[in-house]
Amino acid sequence: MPFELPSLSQLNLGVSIPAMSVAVWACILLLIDLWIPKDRKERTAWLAAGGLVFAFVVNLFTFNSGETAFLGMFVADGFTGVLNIVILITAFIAILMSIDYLRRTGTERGEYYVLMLLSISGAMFMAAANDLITVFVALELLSIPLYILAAFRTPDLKSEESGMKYFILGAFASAFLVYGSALIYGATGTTNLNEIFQSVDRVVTQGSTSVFLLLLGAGLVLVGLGFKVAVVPFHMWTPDVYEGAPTPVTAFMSVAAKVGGFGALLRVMMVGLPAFMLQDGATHTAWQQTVWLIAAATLILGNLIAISQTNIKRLLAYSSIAHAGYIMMAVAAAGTQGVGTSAAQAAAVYLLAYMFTNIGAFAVAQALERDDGTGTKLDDFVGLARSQPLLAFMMAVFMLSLTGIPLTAGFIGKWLVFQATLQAELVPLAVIGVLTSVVSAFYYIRVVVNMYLRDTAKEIVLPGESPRLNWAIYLSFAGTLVVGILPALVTGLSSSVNFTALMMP
Amino acid sequence: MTELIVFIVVGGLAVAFATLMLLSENAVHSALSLIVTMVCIAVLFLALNAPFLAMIQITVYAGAIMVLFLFVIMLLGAERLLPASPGEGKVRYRWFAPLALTLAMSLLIAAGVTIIQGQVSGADALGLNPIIRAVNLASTTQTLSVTANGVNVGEALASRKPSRFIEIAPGNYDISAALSDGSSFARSAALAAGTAYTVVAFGDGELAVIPEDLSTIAAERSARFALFNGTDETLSLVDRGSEFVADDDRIVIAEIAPGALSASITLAEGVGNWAVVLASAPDTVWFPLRDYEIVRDRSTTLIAVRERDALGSRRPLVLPLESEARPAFGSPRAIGYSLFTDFLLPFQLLAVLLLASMVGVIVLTHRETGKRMPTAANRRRVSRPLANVIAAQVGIESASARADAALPEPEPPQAVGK
Amino acid sequence: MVQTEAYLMLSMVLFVLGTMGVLLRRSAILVFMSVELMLNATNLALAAFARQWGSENGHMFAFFIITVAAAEVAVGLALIVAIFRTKRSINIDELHQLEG
Repeated sequence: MPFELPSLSQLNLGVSIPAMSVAVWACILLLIDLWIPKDRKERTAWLAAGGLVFAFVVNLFTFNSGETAFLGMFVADGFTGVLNIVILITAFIAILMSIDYLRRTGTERGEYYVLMLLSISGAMFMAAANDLITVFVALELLSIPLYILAAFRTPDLKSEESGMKYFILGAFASAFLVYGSALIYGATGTTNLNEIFQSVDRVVTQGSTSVFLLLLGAGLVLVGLGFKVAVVPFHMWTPDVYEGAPTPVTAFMSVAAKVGGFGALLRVMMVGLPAFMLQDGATHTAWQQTVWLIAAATLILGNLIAISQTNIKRLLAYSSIAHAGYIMMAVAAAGTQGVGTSAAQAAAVYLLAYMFTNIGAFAVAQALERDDGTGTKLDDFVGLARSQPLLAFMMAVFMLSLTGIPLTAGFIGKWLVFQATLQAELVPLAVIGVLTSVVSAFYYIRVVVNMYLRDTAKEIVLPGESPRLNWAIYLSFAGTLVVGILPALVTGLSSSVNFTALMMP
Repeated sequence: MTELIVFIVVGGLAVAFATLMLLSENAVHSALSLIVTMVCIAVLFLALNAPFLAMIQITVYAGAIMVLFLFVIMLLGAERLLPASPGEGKVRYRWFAPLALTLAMSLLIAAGVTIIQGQVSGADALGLNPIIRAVNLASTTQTLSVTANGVNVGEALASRKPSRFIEIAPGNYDISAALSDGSSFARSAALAAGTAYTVVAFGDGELAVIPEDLSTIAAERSARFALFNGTDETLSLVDRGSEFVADDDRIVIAEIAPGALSASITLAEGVGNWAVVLASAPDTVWFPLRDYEIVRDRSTTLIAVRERDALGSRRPLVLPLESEARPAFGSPRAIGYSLFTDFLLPFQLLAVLLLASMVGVIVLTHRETGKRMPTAANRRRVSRPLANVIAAQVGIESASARADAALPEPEPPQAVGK
Repeated sequence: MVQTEAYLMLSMVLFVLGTMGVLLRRSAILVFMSVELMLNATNLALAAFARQWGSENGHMFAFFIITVAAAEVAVGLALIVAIFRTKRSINIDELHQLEG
């Protein structure tokens, strides 16, 4: 290949503007922040939010262009577009939640918003990455700011510990991811997902060691990304990290890390390794069985351990593990020939629904949280309905949505995922999914029972309540209901979810 | 054989020191062992034709990163470690150790299986697609558009300006070119994988598809040349030598027939006083290439044609088409090229990532005044004089260490949030 | 020429040693070093595969891993320093403010 700098038209930067603009704006904001006085840091927050709105609008224009940028490294297909929407809304709500929280806990610094922007740019690049190297670098760009944000309440030991645990397991997981990628490279000779797809057939027909390397590589990539999205048995960091991190960060990372992780997982598994069948004429990919088992274990363990939790942040952590299990069901379904696109659509809608609901629940928990981080026990919710009826009602809706009751967002997500699973003829998995949903009702409803049916004499004050936090809750609430009541909106959106490079539909 | 000996010795050292790192009870020893392992891996990189990786492995890894580790170990005075015993003490969030150990074992077994099964296939890698570009030497006044099986190769090309290379699938192509005055010409050509082609439109509707050799130039500080003859006379390339010395002409490429492409030759870098001459009249300059600079690691095809100028008359023209030859495998140059072409996106992300980690380091370690700080006694213990640290390392008790010991025990850190 | 599998075997052994270090050692600094060892093992495998395939993508991957590792180490050591200042210990097992 002769060396020529690629021309701008070859790079085709236009379609990557949503993700690019966020990263560039983060760098600019870092400079602007120097001139923003210490007690006016909400200006940085609004500037950051402005950048997000810009990226959101541009994303609507470049949505589903189906083009690639950066010489095939970046794909702007419908899948990227929908995940970008989820990521940007997440960050917007998380910034709304952060402004007053940072002020009252005395950790208000402009860098917080810069790190948040960098992290979501990582998530957006990860959802669009079409190369194992880009997946790795974008994953690190997503994770490293998250480690820092988790420890942002330094010198609070809980927060530092949370950052440390997240960091150690994150770095460990990255090492597995890169080793897996290296083995896939060794088997196929390329890191580009489309080219990996083209090589897989050749590798399988050749048999021997390369197939083995490919299997092992795919397995290690699954382990690495499994850590990031917190599926059993790689979930153990989740409760500790979620509990110790500042609440807005927890809310943010519970969604952003999952969206980025599942985005990359789906793309690697569906674009890179879909034809990964060891025998001719098989209709299921070789990795489906493994993903199936992981999904089942995640659903069972996540939901069962959540029952015994007494702290809302830990409860939501286990619930987030359980929800990772439901999305994993969609990934497993994608392993059957012909179900790929509908499974990806189900996963995207599930992430959207989960995003509104989960962030809303964390926002309510944050309203109850005291400045020193206490006040997040389930007992603190007792009698909430009497003193704060509106907040209690919204929390109840969030809990019902997490359970998957009709007319809420959670129902639509679960319905689509179960549909895809049945379509993929994974009936036992679907049954496990339904049963664990019933189990999950126990602990979600317990919060509702605490709020409505138990009462306490003392008046409940909301230490964290502020207009901006309220807006964050209203926004999540509206999202939860709109998705739940008007599913046509999201199914319309999700019907555009496709992988440009998808060879096996 | 040498590589095998190097591999066994250096590989063995790497494993031995990695094990030492795991078992050592002193963090400084661990760090030093890890440095040895890293240097061993750098040597293996050299054996694997990866000089650039070997270089940054030593500078960045063994140098920068490990120095950082040692610095922090000494700064915190954390060199003494608890023995590596998983069962001892409070083992928290480590219940997954058996699981991961199983994983580790299966990896080892995997390695064994790899060896037994033998050869990792790699011989029939996906062939690189051919690349193609076009250049207009047919007319100085009109632009040229070239397509190959309908794929646009170059559009509205001005005279003498080659288009960019584009990638195209290998196979047979019908290549057609059209000038802006409507005259068009066509020919078919087979494009093979891994080759670069230049479509040259010249003369009266002639079209040549010239393969260019862009493979690595083995000789150091050298360049590769070939001559394509698009005229109807036999041509040679001569080195005219010094202008002041008679009879020092030397033929570089001899007697290329009309329509033929010479074999490629390799020349050392420098400046050549060249000319293209007619083979029939070697002393008359047909087209001068005076003070032509030979730039190393470039592959140049000299295209000799008679170009139609604005008045319609035909003049000799030799156009050097230069391209970078493929840099040597694993060289810094090759890595640099990849960074700015195929891997531009991860490279940019990397820059942003480094910025994020810089911000993070500042955020994590910067403490504003007025926050809860360690007590005076704690502070003293944290930043022990370096002399003590070193003394503790070598086992000598220094004077200030005795003074340190005389201090009252620091109060235990406060439990937070319980 | 030493076969690629031999290098792969060596890299797997180093990777496993790194994994065991992460799991068995209790000092955060040692854990970080073990992660570095795992990444080094990956780089070795990548360089071997790159020679096998005659493509530089493996070298590129290793280059990115080395640089990302530098960024990661900086953040990790900053976290260690921050925790040490608050708690004066870097044993991960002693990090149990959060209910396990």
